[in-house]
Formats: sequence, structure tokens, C-alpha cells
Amino acid sequence: MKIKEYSNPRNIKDAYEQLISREKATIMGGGVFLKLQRRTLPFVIDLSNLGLTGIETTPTGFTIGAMVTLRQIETDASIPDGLRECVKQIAGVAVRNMATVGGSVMGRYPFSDVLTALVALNATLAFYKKGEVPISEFLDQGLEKADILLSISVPKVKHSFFQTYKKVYTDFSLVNLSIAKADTYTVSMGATPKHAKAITLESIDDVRAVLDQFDFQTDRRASAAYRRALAKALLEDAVEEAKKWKSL
Amino acid sequence: MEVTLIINGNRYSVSAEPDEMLLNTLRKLGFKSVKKGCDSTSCGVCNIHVDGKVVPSCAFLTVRADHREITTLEGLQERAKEIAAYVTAEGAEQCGYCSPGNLMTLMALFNENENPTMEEVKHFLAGNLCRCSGYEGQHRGIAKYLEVKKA
Repeated sequence: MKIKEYSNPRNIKDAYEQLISREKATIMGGGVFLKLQRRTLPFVIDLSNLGLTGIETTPTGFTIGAMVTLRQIETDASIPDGLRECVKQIAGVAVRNMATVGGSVMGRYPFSDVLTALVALNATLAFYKKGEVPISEFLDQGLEKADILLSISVPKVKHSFFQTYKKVYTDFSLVNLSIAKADTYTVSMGATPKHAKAITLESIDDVRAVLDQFDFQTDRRASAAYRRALAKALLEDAVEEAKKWKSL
Repeated sequence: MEVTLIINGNRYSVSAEPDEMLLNTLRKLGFKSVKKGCDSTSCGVCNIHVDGKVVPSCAFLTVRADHREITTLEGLQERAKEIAAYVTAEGAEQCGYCSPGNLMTLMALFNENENPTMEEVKHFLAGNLCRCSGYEGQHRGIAKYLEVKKA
């Protein structure tokens, strides 16, 4: 990554004005994935001085600032299990101290563990100009105009669960699964290798019926059949876990 | 761009390119404990602390670190020596290239939790690679250090 010009605005209004007025402006969250890209960035807007770093509990759930790090998610006891669990195997602690939730969302990375968990939790994104957008809509359609993600709201759930298959600890997922239970079950599968998609069900006991709702494909990491077999194992784990929820 | 860095408690005024990383700035300033490994946030040998949190210096922009507290192994010599002695006693020092990054990561863990379990240690060190693959010996050394410290 090369940067021609760098800006570190102190308020969101300035950041947005730079974003819309400067040609080819790039927003920097944690900066981990940007660093790995072989691109020259003419103008970088760093969001690290905007104070988007808090996790707040609200009456209906909680709100995560866009610049909250994955490590903050990992160590905050108020975060539901499904989301807290999903960050634990993402690279090492040092990277998780830099990588942000907002960066994970805005990258729309198909391999993302964070997105799979947030999709299961029916998260809502809050943008500076566009306002609120459901996460699934954003993943499918993206944004039509440049905007800045301020926070992610997650409604309260009764239980949540995350499970992934990685070849080694800290690697990318070959397939990942997250389930959240409010009144119904929301099942989200990611790294299929497409980005996370969710379905809502009354029951998850029929593993085959759940699997049939997802489209597994082949890429250089794994074949479609292998992904489906892994997903079946992850779902069986989830069914076992959900039995415990019923007995609580 | 002009930047003020507070490194191991001392102020430095430096001029940095917009895409210069702390790894390069720190080495230029003589902090040679900060090693360049993969240069892609995968190996942990360049780990330092910024505001008390362990981060990969290869991905941390120097301009972003303006007026922030940076700690390298040079600033934590006493503590590092104490831990490293146990790792060395297990023959796990080997080429030594990963040691500064390992120690910086470990000391970040100790800042959060003075008495971690070995499971917690392994979880914390998962992002630190050792090219001599001396993990078992390193873990033995750290386990002994923790035992002695607790006693």
C-alpha cells in the first residue's frame, strides 16, 4: 500500500466533506487490510480521531462504534457469545487490537467471521448520511453513494452461537456458521465462499433441511461438497448447543 | 509530515511519509528490537505497544501514532530479561528473531492479567510465529516462569 496524502480529521463533518469532495478518497478503519493491498491510495481519511470506539448497552440491545476493535469485542462481557466467539481465531491478538468492526463490515469480506455473526444477530448499520441500513441489505447491494459507517446496532437475543472450520488457528474460515435465537432461530452461513446469508426458522433440528437452504460453491480453498460436509458438522454442533438452551 | 512520538517515555520529533509504518520509523531511530518479518501482519515479530496495547508495527502508520505512547522492548528490559531467562533455560531461544515480538506480546498479556493460565498464554501467542518452530520449549519456559512467580 502506498499513500499520497493522509488526513486525520477531528470531527465527522470534516471527514464526510473530505470523502465527498476529494477524488478517490479511501477511508481507513484499523488499516490492516488496506496495508496488505498493492494499491496506491491518493487520499486516505483516518477515522481514528472521531471517537467511534465505544460499546453501549441500550434498552433494546447494544451499539458498537465503527472503530471498536475486534479485541474489544472479544473482551467485553456484555457482547453476546456468538459475536464474542467469532473474533477469537481471527489472526493474533495484536492484529485484533487494530482491526475494527467497521472495517470488517465495510470490506464486505466473504470470508469474514464477524459478518456471519452480525448477520445472524440481524444487526443494523448506521451511516452518517444514509442513516440506518439492515446488514443483509448492505451486503447484497452495497452503497450507492460514499458514506461513513458510524455504528452497528444489535438487538437483544436470548442465545447465540458461532462455529467455524479453519485449517489452522488464525487462518481464514473454509465455512462458518452463526445462530441467534430470539423468538425464532436465525441461521447465518458465511465463507460459502460467498458472503454471509441468513435464514429464519422455527426449528433447526432438521439439519439437512437447513443445509438445503444454502448454496455452497467451489473455490481454491475448498470444494462445494467439502464445504457442505463441514457445514453439516457445524450445524450438528449448533443443534447440540441449542438443546442446552431449551433446558435452561 | 511532522509527528511527535513518545517512545519509551522520551519525545521524538520526526518527519514521516504519509505511508511510513512505525516499524521503519522505529528502526531508523535505532530501536532495533523491532524486527521486520513478514511485513504483512502475519508473524508478530514486529509487535510493539501503542498506548499499552500490543499491535503489529508493520501496519501502524507513523502519522497515526502522533502524540501516542509507544513502547518497544528497549523500554521493558528488566521484565523482559526476567521472562527470557526461563525461555533460554529451556533451549527455546534458538535464532532469537521472534523473541522481541513474543516478549512484547507476553508482556501485553501480563498487563491485562498477571496470572494467566497456559491456555490463555497460548491463545495470546497464537499470532506469533517462530521460524525455528521452538514453540514447545517456549511454552515450557513460560509455564515455569509463571509457576515461580506465583510461588
